[in-house]
Amino acid sequence: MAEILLVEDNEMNRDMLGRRLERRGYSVIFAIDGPGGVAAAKDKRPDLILMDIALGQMDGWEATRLIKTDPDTMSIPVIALTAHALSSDRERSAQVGCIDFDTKPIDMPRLLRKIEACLEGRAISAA
Amino acid sequence: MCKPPQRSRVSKRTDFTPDPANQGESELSGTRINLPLRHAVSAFANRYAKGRVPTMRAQKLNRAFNGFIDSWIPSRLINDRNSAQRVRMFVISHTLGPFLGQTITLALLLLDPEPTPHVYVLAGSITLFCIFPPALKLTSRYFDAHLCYSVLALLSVMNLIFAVLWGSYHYAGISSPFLVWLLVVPLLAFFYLGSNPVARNFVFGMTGSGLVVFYLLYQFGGGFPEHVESSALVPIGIISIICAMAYVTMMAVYYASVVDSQSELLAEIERHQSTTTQLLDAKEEAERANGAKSDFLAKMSHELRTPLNAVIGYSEMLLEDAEIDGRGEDSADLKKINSAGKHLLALVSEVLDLSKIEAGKMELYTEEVDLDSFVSEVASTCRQIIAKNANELVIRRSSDLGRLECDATKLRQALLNLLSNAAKFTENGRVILSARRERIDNRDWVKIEVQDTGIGIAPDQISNLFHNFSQATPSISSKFGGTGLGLSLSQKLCRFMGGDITVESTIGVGTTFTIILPATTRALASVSSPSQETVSQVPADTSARITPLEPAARNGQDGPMQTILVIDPDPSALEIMERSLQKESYRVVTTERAKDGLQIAHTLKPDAIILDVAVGDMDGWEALDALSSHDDTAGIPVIVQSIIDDPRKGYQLGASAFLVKPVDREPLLETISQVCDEAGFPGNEVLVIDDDGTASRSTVAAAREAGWHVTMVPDFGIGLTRAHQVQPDLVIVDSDSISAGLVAFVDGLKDLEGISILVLVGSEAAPTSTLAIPGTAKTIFNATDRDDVRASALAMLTRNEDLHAGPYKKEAAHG
Repeated sequence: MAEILLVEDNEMNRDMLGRRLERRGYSVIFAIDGPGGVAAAKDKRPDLILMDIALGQMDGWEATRLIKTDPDTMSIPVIALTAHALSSDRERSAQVGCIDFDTKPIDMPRLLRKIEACLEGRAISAA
Repeated sequence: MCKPPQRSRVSKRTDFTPDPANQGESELSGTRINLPLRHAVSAFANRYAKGRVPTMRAQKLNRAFNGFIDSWIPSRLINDRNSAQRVRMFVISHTLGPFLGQTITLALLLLDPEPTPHVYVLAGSITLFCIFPPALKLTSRYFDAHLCYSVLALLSVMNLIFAVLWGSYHYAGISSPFLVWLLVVPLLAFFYLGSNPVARNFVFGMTGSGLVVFYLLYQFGGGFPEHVESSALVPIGIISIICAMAYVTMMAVYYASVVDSQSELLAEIERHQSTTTQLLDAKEEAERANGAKSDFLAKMSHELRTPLNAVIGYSEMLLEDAEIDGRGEDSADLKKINSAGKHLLALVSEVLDLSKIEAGKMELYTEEVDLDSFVSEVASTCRQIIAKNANELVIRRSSDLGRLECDATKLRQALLNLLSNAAKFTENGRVILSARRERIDNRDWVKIEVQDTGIGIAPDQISNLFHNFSQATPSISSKFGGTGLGLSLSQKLCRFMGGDITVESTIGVGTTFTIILPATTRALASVSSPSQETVSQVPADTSARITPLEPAARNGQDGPMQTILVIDPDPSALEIMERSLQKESYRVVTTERAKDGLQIAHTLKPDAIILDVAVGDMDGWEALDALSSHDDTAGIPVIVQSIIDDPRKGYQLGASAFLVKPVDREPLLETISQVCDEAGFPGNEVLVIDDDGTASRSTVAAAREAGWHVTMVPDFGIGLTRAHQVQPDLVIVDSDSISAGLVAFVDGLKDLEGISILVLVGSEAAPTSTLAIPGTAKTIFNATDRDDVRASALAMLTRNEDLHAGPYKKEAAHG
């Protein structure tokens, strides 16, 4: 089953989203900040990364940029998760190389559709 | 315009104060009045006879005197604030001065045993002053009034110098008691003529050369003649010196009062400046506070969403568990937690959206939407909510829906809000969602209606409907829930996209909400949202901005709101303009650059453009020319603003109105609504030629009151071009006097069929000179009465045929 790296600094969100993904059969690994996320991506080579943007020192944009510029990890699709549905966020996510974009709070069915689409190798439009 | 203020004061009093002149009459006719009333009248009159009547008499006298003085002054000068006071002084001096002066000649006649001819020359010279006021009146009919005044004032000063030196020469020479009057010369001269250097040089030159002649006569003429012994001149000398002193004192007091009022003015300016500084401080303070509010909201957004995220997420997880385990009781409770969490989140989002719109931080993300599939998608999203109260969802859409450029997320939000409202307030009924395209004012619009068969809204509650936190009645919120933010937000979102939401409702029958949006908003999006190309090259504050609308009432106006494009290089001016226009419910697009402005004008086609010609990146006049000469934008009225008063150029290049900066709010709004109303006006077309900018204000007002479309131009040349362009029904020429230009203009309109010409001439023109006006025009003299002008113009419009068919006649209506 596909392996998903969840980069999220909020423990509650990490626990909740992780459990809900596991319940649907994904194997989930966690990172709690930007550098950890970049390292885990390089070590574990997951099938997909869910990247929270509002992280601490290194934000999700920077972490994604690093992942996307490293030849080892650049092929891993990243879905950005932000609290705001602003067009600037949407543009930014496209700029740093995210394959898709979703807003918090998580609408589980929608996020699952996006995850499945990414894993099947195609992006669907952001909502 | 600058009338002496005391007049109005007088006229008010005369209304109720008994006139002493009539007192005798009432005594005479007393037999017919009953006794008590007669006593009352005489007691009243006596009481006033002591205190008030003499002052009233003085005032009457004063009024008569003022009237007499003013009657000598040409209207052109009396209407000119700068010169009225000088000219008045000039006329007063020349009316009273000669009488006072002649007392000296009389005394000399008595003193001098041989008065011929020198006393008579002096008397002649003093009498000459009398003819200056009539000369002013007469000459200004034919020449420029200001020029006539200046020349006459200089001649008068020359005459005064002559009289003083002549008198002095003949009576005691250099020790003459009349010589002191020479000091009055510069005082008077500069008072008449102001401080212009020509006048200064002239006066010094004249006085100097007069004294030189004086000296030469003394040197080579064998000393001063001795008509009278110097001792005999002592009494008249003392009187002369006292009079001269009195005169100089009067002038000095006047100058002192001018200096006083000037320093008062300076103090006032200082106070004003300090108020301005305070206002600026307050504005900065308010801006800081507003920035802090926005920051706070952005932070709260994150802080509130994170815990809500957990509430919603965990309750959903537990709900899934409970459903799998078949624990129905738990699942009902968990559903309540979950839906409460979602509700709270929706509220937070709505509050944030509203604050964003109010803080001007809302962004548009425009995309092309296929309306057909958009409607299907929204319908499928809301089908469940609508079915909840056993309602049926009906969808009606026209086949030509096509594509719509808009922010789909915001439109979806607004539409879903309307649909869920409809579902909430309707039971066992129908909710009809219909969409169609419409063409209004040459623009494509999309109308989306949500109609329900619900409880309806009472007429008096409709006005509150779109206000924040308002629902029709408090009982509604307790029964149906909700905060009353949804409709307000939906309307703001639609207005933000250039459209609106309107409502119609009948109690017990149902309610129809209509979203109307312009089919194309691409132009707005490209300048309003920091898209990739603009964000990288242009700092955000120099590109155009669109701001949302305050929830103000729209002056009872139906249909989409009007869009005003403001082009001004000064960001603070833009901000002020934006605020005041928004308050009047205009949609405002602003830009600091003329090139952007031109592009926006082409794509957006605003209802009016306000252009400051001092715009930096290209010549503002060029921009105006470009706007009025291109087919796409020629129909858009342009209001030109400038600190340079050059309306002629503005009108020549096609401006609809010209305003000199600084422009006050009221005249600006008036002008905007005028130019907006005029665009595409179907009624009578009236062209007003305002030759000298004096009386035409009332003429235009009269014409507009009558509901006509008025175009105003400043001179005959432009007038002739415009007349051939717009083919007006009526041309009104408003002129102080009859000039060759006017005659040529009327003549130049000959080739236009079915055009009426009304010439309004001020009192300046001699009635006979109108014979020069070609017979196609009707002429009114001294047209100061608005009603008179309106009646004549109306008659000309309605009896067009009579005027053209019959032999022309000239009317003289003295107003």
